[in-house]
Amino acid sequence: MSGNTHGLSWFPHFPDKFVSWGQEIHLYEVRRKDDHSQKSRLPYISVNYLANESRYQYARCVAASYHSDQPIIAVGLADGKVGICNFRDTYDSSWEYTPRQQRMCTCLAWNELDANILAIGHDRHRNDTCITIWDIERGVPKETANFFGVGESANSICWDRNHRTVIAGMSQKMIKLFDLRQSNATCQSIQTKTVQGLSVSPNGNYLCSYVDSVITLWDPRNIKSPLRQIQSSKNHLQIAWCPTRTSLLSSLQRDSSYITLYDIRSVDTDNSGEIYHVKRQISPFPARYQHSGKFSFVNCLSWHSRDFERALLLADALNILDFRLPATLHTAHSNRRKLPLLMQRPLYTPASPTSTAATPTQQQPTSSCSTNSGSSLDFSTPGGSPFNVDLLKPELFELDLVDETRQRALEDYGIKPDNKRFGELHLTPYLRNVWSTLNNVYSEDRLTGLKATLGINLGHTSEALMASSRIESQVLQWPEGINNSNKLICYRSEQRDLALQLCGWAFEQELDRFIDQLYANKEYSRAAMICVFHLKIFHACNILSSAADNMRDPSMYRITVIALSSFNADRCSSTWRNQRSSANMQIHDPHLRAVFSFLTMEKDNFDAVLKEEGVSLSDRMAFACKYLSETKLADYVAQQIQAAIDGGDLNGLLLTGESQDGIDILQSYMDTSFDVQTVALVAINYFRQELFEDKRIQYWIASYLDHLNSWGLWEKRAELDIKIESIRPSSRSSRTVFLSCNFCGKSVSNALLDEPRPRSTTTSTNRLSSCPSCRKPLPRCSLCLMHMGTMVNMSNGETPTTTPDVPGWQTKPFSKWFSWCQTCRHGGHTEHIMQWFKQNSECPVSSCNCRCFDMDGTKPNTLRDIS
Amino acid sequence: MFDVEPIIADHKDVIHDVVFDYYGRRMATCSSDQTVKIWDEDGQGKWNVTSSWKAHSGSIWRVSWAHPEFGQVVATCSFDRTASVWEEVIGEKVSSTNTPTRRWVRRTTLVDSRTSVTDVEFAPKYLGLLLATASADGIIRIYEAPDIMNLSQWPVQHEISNKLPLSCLSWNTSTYMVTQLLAAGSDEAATPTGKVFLFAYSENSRKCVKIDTVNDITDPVTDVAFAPNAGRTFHMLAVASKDLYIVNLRGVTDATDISKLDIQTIKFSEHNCPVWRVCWNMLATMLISTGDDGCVRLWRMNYNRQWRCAAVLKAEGSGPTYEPAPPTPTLATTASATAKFYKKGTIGNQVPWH
Repeated sequence: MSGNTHGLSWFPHFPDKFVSWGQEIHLYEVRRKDDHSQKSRLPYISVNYLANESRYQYARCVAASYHSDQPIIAVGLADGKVGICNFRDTYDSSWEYTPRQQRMCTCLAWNELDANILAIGHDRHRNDTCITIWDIERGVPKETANFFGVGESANSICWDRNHRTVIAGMSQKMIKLFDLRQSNATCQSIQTKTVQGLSVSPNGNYLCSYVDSVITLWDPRNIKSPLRQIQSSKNHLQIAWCPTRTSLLSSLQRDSSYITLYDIRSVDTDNSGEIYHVKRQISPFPARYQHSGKFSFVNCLSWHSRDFERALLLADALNILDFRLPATLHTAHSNRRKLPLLMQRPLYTPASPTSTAATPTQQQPTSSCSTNSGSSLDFSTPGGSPFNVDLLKPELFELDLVDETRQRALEDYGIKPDNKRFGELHLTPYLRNVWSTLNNVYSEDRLTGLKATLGINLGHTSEALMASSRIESQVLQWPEGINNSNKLICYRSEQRDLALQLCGWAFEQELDRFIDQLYANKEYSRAAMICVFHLKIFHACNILSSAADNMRDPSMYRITVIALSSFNADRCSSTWRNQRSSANMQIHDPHLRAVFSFLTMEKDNFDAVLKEEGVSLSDRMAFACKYLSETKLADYVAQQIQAAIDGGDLNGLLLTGESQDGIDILQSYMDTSFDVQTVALVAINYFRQELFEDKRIQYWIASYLDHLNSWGLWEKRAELDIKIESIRPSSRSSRTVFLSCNFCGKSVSNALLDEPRPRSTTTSTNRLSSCPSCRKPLPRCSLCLMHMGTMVNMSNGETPTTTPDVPGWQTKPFSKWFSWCQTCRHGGHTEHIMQWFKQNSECPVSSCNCRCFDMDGTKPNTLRDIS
Repeated sequence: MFDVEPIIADHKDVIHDVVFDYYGRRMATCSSDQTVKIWDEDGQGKWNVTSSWKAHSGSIWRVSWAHPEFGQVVATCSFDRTASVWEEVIGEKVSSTNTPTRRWVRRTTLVDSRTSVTDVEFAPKYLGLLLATASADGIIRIYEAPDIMNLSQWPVQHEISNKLPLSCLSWNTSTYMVTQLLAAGSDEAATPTGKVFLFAYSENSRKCVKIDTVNDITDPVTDVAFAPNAGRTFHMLAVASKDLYIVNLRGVTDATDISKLDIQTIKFSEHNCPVWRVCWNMLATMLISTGDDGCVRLWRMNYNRQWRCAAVLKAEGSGPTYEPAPPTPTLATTASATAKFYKKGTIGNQVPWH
């Protein structure tokens, strides 16, 4: 096609056909998605060219009709002639209407109810009418009843919802309604300047019109005054309602590249409702259209009558695009990995056309859920999902903290901390190592850190005590065959021996057994490293030689054995050091790197060993306790504590123990990993009462308990509560929840607990059923009508109580407790209440219709049997 | 890992909010068709509408669940200038086999606002039964139910006035260094000032006052959401605006021992269109944002503690996808009719985001 296009329009009853007009009128059909037969005539939309009409050129306005059998358009020309065209070669003179006075045809509107009726609007002539109602089956209109508006001009025209009233904007100053149901059509008019673009919304509630930059909304049933005026910054070109929405008004503005959408709504009140709108602006151009970089304008828009929010666009008076409003997705995230995506369903279900001549494209959504290969992501979507899942970084989904936290909670994480138990949990090696370290350091119900054990920075008393503890410094001899001129000074004291033990290193006499244990755990390089640190280099060679036999890739170990066997510090020191510095880039095992760093040290400088981050902190601390002096050891401990606080490394608890620094380490780990579970459980298991009262620890524990509540893991939460109470028996605080009398408001719990053993049944009944201070009766069970505190089985002589005490609750099962509903405040013995609600759903009190049991939000599937 | 579950909501008009309850087994939706729907999850994980009622006489903007400690209570707000509190009551059992019918009863209507109430949100549980509303005239009202057994009485505790109209608000769940921390956003487009405000309870003046403004976000704000804070020393706030923002709020104490907030703003432009809604998962390790391009984006923190867009969910029906004959062979790409949003007049070279 050549030349500019002035407009385009879908056909209402042909879902794939549309017409465009300019110099000529062209009929197109949109192809199906699988149709690639030939090249499309339009560059941005896949269409089939069907026909053209060359008799009418430079049409001023074109309207597609509501006929179902064939596509028919009405064409209005500049000289006022109106022609009916069905894109066939046959010519019918009765389908052409020429007004008496020659002037421009301004607007056309087909009647949707009667497809043969066309409303024609013309410009002004002094002696002629401007509105003509044409029934194309009766030939050219001649009756005077079909002509309106003498001496006026029609700016826009449309039909009312019932398609019996013509609404026209006339003479730039009024809107008139012509009711055609009467023989002499009545006319109702309203004065306004907004006379352009008249149309009625699909729900029939609003009539819209515009002039320049103002849109006015009217009530078609009561057009006395406008409902609302919408002002915009630019002048409007075209306004149109979206047929598939109830009241979505679209607007094209002059020299604009986007579509403005007004969602019109109203408030239902008793008198006239208030109108409001939600405004959106959308650029309809796909990314490919923007590649040229030029600035594009939207000239014309035509909404599809059935496809939800689908439109044709005319851009730059040249290009036609198929456009659909983006689907609105709503989602929220729950604590159960649910991600529901709520889509707005179309209001009109696409009805299949009755005509067999039409071939609509059945656009069926295809289910495409693409996942990158190799990803362990669980994107389980139900069948027929119309969603595309585009995974940009699938590795970020491999480890979800919410799932991990819930899984660990179900596996009793932190309830019974011991090494065997942690081996069964799905923990990261980091956390497994942390818990093992904490288990080693925990002794005598205290998490004593190395800082406290070594007595660093503990004041004058500790310094005096430390001075008297006789720190021994001993110059060690290098093994025979290794001529190292450097002196190796080893430090020993009671505190250092204890610190070595806390780090997991055994005493000197138990070293062989410790090394064998490491060998059995396949920690070959670590065993070799510890042997070298204890100057048993030949023992390390034997370990690595044996390990190389068991490994699949023994080259690294064998090279290390060869290097260690031929090590001689004095003769090859400089050569060794140069080779080591270059080889450290390629040695992957951090323990082997530490071995070579130790053997090539210079003048008591152990920084290369101490800064080896791959070696665990406990091993590095043990090494420091063995070979650093007091001042260097204190500095090293302080540095490591600060590094642990900065980096959120839980291994720093080995140094700090339970202290303020330990809480800082937990807080830093919390800030880094968001893992409140581990932080709370470490505090519960290892922190004593004075530090346990820190508000940060209390907040972590409260948050974790709240997470268990939200998952409904009541039993896990109860076990944790029991654990918190059991490991701190001396810190029992006063009771904060007690039973109070209805009349005097004083507590009756203590009286019930401290009641002495009754001697006879009568005395027990009388004494326990009343308040000890005011002697008024206590509440009764709704079913057995016994007072609170009375025994369910009167024969046994157990001490009565209604609230559990730690030693007493075991003698009184849960079924004999007293419970009540918090909504209606009726209740009774738990055994009786549960029995009642197994068969009934309402409150046992006769006049109360409360459904006490249904109020429980958790709704257990089956009523669990009570003791 | 999560389950993407498309739900065809049969609201007759635009849905404005989707909220889960505390246990994640119930869901509430509100719409411009003036109804609120309560969805329950059955044993197979399918969502069914168990209640639907006409709640307001205008568009319902937001719905909020109370903590289940206070019963099954939701709050709604609407364009009709009111906010309502609803409670579920168990109806009569018609037969022994059917479950009893559930009905939602209006407990109160809050009519203090003279303009559209744009947001309503229950406070965290540690504050008791507290409700905050934001309205289009820029006033935040905090209501409290003194007696949780009687939900008809909600006196206004605090009323905070702002110059800009407000569109959204969010409570902070943590008490670290500041209590009753509240964030509000404005969708005003004219002034180029900061659009995110922070309010907190002041012990000196014994009321809620504005403590800070996030000045880096000057575009209209459509949603704000505080991340659930289980014990971190900083608060994270997600802001939906022309772009997506994550604001880190860290409490610092300066030399004069006055507590103030250190604000750090991170901006993400992947949406290329206005972002409408943001929400977090329960441990704040994932952020979900929906935008005007019809996409849902999932954001995760990588190993360098930087947020990255990890997944994009997109509706299939957003536009017909075809491969027309290209004008030049170098432009042989699959075209997509997905819309973009440009509010400003100048459009530079746009990089395709798919």
